[in-house]
Amino acid sequence: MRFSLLMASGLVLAGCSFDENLPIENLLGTVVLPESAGTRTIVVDGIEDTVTDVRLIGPVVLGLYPGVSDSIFQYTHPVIGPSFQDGLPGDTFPYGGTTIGDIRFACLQELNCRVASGRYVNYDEIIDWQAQVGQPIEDAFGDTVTSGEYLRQVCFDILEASSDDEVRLIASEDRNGDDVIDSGDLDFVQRTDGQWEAEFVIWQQEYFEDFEDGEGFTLWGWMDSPSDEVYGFETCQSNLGFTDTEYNINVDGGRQYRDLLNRPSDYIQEGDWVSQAGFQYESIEDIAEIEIGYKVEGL
Amino acid sequence: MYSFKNMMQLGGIVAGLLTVVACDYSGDFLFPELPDEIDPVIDLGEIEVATVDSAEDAAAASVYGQVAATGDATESGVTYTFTGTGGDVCVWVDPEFLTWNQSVAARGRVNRWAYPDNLNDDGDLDIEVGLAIYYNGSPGETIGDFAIRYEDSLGNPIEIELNECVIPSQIASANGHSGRGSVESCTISNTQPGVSYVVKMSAWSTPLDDDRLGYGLLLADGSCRGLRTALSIDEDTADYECVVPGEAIDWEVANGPGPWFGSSEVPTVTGAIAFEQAYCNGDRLDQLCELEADEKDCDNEPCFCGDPRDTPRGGQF
Repeated sequence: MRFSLLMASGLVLAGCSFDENLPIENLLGTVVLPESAGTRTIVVDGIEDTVTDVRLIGPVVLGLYPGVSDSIFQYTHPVIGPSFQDGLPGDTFPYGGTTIGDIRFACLQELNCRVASGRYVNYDEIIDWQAQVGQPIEDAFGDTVTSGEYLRQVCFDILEASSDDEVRLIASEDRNGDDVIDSGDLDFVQRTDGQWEAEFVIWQQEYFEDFEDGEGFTLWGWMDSPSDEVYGFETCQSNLGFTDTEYNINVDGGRQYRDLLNRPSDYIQEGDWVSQAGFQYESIEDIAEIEIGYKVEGL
Repeated sequence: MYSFKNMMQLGGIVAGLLTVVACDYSGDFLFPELPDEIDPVIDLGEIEVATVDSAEDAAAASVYGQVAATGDATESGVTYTFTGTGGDVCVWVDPEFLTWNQSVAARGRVNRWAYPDNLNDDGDLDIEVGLAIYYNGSPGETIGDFAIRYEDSLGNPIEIELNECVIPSQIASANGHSGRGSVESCTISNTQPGVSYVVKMSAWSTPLDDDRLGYGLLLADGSCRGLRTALSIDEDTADYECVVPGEAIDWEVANGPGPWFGSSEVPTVTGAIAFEQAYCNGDRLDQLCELEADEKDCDNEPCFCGDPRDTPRGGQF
């Protein structure tokens, strides 16, 4: 009996160290954008102002693809599968991906498709930014919103949330461990050389490689720059996502399109930034570093 | 008293016997039987797209038939082709017979549905439609699909689904289907003129009572929304059951799998069209069912309605 128990215990302990050898890992990496990706000349009431600000960095879409090609479009693009309809490029068939900064509904209809997560330290910054780019925000009653605290309360009310963590609009985690929540805790942080850097994790990604030469999949990405008109995002589908109807107030939250990874060329527009080289994995252990440094112009 | 050793010996003998018996296990009983004279895979050939402006047009243009299960794990069903018109085409199928969920709520029960359905006389067909060039089944021999196998540049296989039939009620995505026994339809938009399309109707289930699944199909010019408008069908999906009338086929009279062209040609089970019509009209099915139970010996002959003794009681799952 004692022997059986010892055997069973041994098997249980041995099971704890069992490795299934599945090619699935959390992929870690860094994305770098040039300083100019966050710089723009803003004209309000005829007055030009050149601004460098993290809020000019829109959602960054990262995908894992069989490869990239520079012969399909004027910018590097993932290789495309078969096309079945005239004029419509095929699917890129990504293996996985993530975003750095998501389309978030900022609780007022006028902010639909204009706010990405990880770009604001507090609610005041959301309000101030819209005013800075000449798009002051009005609430449902037509009054100009000037207080971030007001926006926060609207969010808590409409989203039935009780903390900033739940709303997920502003920085609420001390990522850099300096005991202060500030711009250093946003997704993108400006380095001393002026470039913008963000870390990412692609959770539980299955690894794919060429069985013959062992070359792995390629990480490629692009950044959706805010539009010149209302500083909104083209990757956002305005009529979907969170919805709320109360009395005579109808709210559409907006959300990212579903096929941003599958058909990037449908969404990449003038002024967006793409990766020209991508990052080709050689093993599942690789820590990727990818530069999104090509500005799309002259489409 | 038996000792531990005796128990172990007995257990070993039982395990050994079970192992030997398991060698003779086939699992055939899990599958429906293959009835005589009905094939499990049927190809109807080319069907012409009909212009339907009225219920009479729809009944005249309907095509009827029967199909069986394969008797094993392979798929059974019916295929046919049509030629693209350059516009929308509505693909519609009504599998045998009517199916409804019994209303059993303790409060707010809907009397219309208070009597149970006879689930044994229902089957289900699921539609897929695509360009004929992408269909990989062998008509009349095997049921296939519209998937193209593509290998990406890393050598990984990818299956590309080219089924164009989007069932509107099922989150508007391809490969969704209406519920068991329900009418199913989809619009193939902007069909390419002169190009051949395949409609695949896979038999998801065959009736438990005879394993012969009757169906009626309609191929109409224009969208399915336009068809419903032409037939003055509102949003009550019960009305869909009367677009193609009489798909419950009387096997004794039919003596074959069909096809039959037009509702006047198909040997429908006596009383089935009237029952369908009552269903579409929103009549009290519980009253009709009680009448049927009075008139027929439903323990020994087929009835449209189920057995009220099967009604679940409070606390039953």
